[in-house]
Amino acid sequence: MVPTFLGITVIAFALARAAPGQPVALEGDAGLRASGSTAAQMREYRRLMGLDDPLLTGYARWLGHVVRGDLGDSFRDGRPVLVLLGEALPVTLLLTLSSLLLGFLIAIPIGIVSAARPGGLLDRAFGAIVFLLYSLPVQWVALMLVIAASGTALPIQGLHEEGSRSLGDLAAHLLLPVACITYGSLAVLSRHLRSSMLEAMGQDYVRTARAKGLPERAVVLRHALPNSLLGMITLFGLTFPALASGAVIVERIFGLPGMGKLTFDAVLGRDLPVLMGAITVGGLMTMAGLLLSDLLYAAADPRISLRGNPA
Amino acid sequence: MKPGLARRFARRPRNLVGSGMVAALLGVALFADFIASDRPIVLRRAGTLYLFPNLIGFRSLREFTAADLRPGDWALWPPFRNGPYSIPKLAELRGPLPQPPTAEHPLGTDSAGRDVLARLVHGARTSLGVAIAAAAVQVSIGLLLGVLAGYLRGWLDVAITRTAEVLLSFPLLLLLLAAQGVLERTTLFSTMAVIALSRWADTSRLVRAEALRVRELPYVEASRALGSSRLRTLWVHVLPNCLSPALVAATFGVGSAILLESALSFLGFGAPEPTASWGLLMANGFQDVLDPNARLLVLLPGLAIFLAVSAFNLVGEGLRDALDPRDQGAVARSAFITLDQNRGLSPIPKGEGGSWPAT
Repeated sequence: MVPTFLGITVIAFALARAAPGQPVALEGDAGLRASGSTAAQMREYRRLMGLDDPLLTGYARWLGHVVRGDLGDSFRDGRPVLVLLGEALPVTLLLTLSSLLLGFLIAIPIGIVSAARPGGLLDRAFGAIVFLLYSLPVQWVALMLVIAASGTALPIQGLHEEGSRSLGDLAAHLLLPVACITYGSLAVLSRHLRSSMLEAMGQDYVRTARAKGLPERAVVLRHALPNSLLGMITLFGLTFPALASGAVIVERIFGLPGMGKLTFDAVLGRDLPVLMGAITVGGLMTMAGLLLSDLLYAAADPRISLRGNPA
Repeated sequence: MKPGLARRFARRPRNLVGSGMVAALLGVALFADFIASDRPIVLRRAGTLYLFPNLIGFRSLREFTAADLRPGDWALWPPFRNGPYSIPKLAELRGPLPQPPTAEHPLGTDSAGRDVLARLVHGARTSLGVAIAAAAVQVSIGLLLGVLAGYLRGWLDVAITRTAEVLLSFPLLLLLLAAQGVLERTTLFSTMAVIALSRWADTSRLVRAEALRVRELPYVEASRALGSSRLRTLWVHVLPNCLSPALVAATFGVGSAILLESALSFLGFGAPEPTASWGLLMANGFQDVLDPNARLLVLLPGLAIFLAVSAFNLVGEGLRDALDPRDQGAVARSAFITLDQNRGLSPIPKGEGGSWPAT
């Protein structure tokens, strides 16, 4: 966990330090005023990044600030990066977690039906459908949905109507974005469940269940399924980065103020503190997802203990 | 490589369909200038014969248009006589941009008046070029690091595995966007490079797992017993036997690199204007997405990307099944290696979880 965290911060730091045209190099220059930055902001950035120190000391200094929750201030409007992230993160989490939930809800029945009759009509049809969905570019699906919805009452921009805070309104605004993020994960989720169920159906306990005369339905749902679902928990953490990646495009097209839009705006405005913060938190998000799926797994499977290694 | 590979691969019709699609796309990419260009393939003008003006920018032909042909001159044109970059003169423009399909522009124009068909055709070159190069580089890095990590173990293994883990934990597009964003300007090369440098971890994991298996096999032991150095054993025995997962990863890698390139270009941080790129074309359509004339600008490149990605994924899946006949019965493992980011820290002990196919 700690090495991964350090690695994430190294990459974020390296990206910002490698950026050519460091705003700091322009101190007192006309370029500064043009980018709307002030000398005070520059000095602040210089201090945060340890730009006056050698590379390693600079990194250590910055890391010290980061672990204390000081990510600096945005060049653009001088607001703390932490506050900006605090506004953007919930939007992205809302998007990705709803997609994750929806993805599991759709993929699990598909996986079950496919595994119940491998090679059957339904199996092959679903296999082809999820394969095709997997190859569709997100930006295309999102734009086609925007075009399709443009004549209807379905909202295609933002998180809610002006002044409206109702849950229904939010759900209507999330419908299309969530659909765009979800469809690509169906392939991985449903095929994984299918193959692990097929694996389970070859096990002795399934043969026993069949031998004692249980109907096929009960064999599949009560005996093969629970064990296979266990493996799906690990996918919970694994699909998260992929979903958050798709969210970058979806947020741009639907104008949602999440992490992707924050990063995109930071890149456009060369807002290095925000960029570094977004990258760091983006990596941490995944780490949190993996940790969560590990914990869930341990909770669901009594054979796994978080303390010792059982194997 | 493996006996019977071609036969096993060809047994499934869909693999052949996929290969055919890949071949067709490569053909379009290679011969884009012979399919759509505003210059002739062969031209005879004023007694001089020009070969391939569509490929070579002859200085004397800089201002040449079809109207300049005099009696006695002749030209052999490509089937579509529009180039991907030619912007019409303002005075010749009829109607607002983007234009709907006309006889002159069979698929309409983009918002700068450039021919969509020509940009689609030349976009295949950009897309496939970047994606194939990225996949080749990422797989080479992943293969090398994966074999080193799996065969040599020790601190090198720890370092490589950890680095891979870090790379895999970023939402990919966020990382690519940031990496491209800090550059002064993005180019096709930088697009290829950032994709390759952030994607090798997928391959290195698969290859490492294979190397871990291979290093315990009798022939590796025999090679060591015969006194080969570790490097020679690695190069002659371990590496060649780890090629199958790398080959499969490369094919899937092309598909995902096409998606990534188009996404980055769509965001404005991939292929730079005025490159003909499918992602840029969609961004162009996104500008006025509610204009019915712009819909083709979104629809067509999306279909092209879809075709290209599914073609490479079909071939990848076919290759994987053909290379690994052990899996044929169960058609085990998740269908999509690209997203199958097995982690080292997985809480499932080997042979326990029950759901993981044995390797």
